[in-house]
Amino acid sequence: MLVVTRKKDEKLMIGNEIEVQIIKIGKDSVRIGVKAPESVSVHRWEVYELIREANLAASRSQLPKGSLFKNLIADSSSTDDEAEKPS
Amino acid sequence: MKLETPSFGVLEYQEKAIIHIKEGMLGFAGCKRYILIENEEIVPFKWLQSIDDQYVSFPVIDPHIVLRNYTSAVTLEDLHNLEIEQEGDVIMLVVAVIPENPQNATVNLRAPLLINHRRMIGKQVILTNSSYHTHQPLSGN
Repeated sequence: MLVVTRKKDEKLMIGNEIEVQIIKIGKDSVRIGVKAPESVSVHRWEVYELIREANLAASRSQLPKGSLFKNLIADSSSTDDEAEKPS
Repeated sequence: MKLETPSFGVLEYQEKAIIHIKEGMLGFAGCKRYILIENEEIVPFKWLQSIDDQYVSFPVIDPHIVLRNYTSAVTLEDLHNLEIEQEGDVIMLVVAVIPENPQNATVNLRAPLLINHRRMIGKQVILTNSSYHTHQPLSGN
């Protein structure tokens, strides 16, 4: 991990297109600004962790057997008569 | 082409059926190529099976089955980099967790899998709209 010390208003460049700036330094927290191309998503670490964990749980899914699921969807909260199907 | 899978045995597929997820699914960065298995036994789910690692697979489902107006949650920003040329290019799937008791199945509405099925490229996108849950129960209470 690269560790760099920056003062308020100073910046970091990640690659050629991502700019990180220290906006404000508080007692217990730091306000950070990120400029990045639209193709690069920026999220709090916890959000990534949540998604990773959900994917991991999904990869351990049990293969559903029989028509259990058809009933499950019929009982679901969706009030659709016909759901849009991907073509 | 053939792939041996734990859940579906030996699968035969064509190269043109491969979906390329450039950055992989979150947490599975090494797995970038998948095929979507449709099997009447698992309806309404489909199975996203990795070609790069036979042990990596995810149940997926059309989010509109869970939430009718889900499409409106996806912004133009979310669609960036998928080379979308027209609306019909995109299909949306959400990853489901199916535990031993399928009544407790949940779907991740926060990070759908967006697929440009014309170009066969996909991306798991964390929606800018953060009001959706990663573990949304399937069955209504």
